[in-house]
Amino acid sequence: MNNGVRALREAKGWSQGDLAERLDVSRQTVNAIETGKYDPSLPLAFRIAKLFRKSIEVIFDPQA
Amino acid sequence: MFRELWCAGATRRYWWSSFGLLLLYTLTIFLALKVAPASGPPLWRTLGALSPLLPLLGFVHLEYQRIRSADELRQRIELEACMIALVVGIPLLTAWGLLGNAGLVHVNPLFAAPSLVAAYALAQFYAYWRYR
Repeated sequence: MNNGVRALREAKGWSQGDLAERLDVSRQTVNAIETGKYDPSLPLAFRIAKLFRKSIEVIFDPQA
Repeated sequence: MFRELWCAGATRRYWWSSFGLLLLYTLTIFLALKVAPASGPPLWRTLGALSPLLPLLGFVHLEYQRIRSADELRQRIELEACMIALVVGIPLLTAWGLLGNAGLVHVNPLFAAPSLVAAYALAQFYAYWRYR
């Protein structure tokens, strides 16, 4: 699944570690999500969407 | 990178606790195998023979807590590693038992659990590599 997490994070000027801390996950989890190796759970996807003030559909594209 | 993943959900206390438990396990298994008397009251012999189980159960509990406190990717990695270890380990251990039953190999069954743990460790390494 494609997602715009990296773009949103970079727009905020955060490192992967910064985002990981805000989401209460490891930096590796953020990296795996950004590179598309891992699709987050629904609760984590909601946390990401809430953090960036976007809807889940805007951030995650299930078509890819 | 692997070190970072290992440390992500772990604390210094975890490492010291696991080190202590493994040390205790090594000591008790040495005592159970080499020092425990071959004669005496059955209760004492049984307790002596099973004494390595206590630190082993402590270690299992510690691992359970570590995985419970890990984030979701880490838990997924552990689950994948566990499944790979079982898929590889069960046929191998069964073959080991069958060959032993046929009198073709003579290996102490005590090595079965460490073999499974080794398979789990290798599978963990592979699972981490997949999500690197």
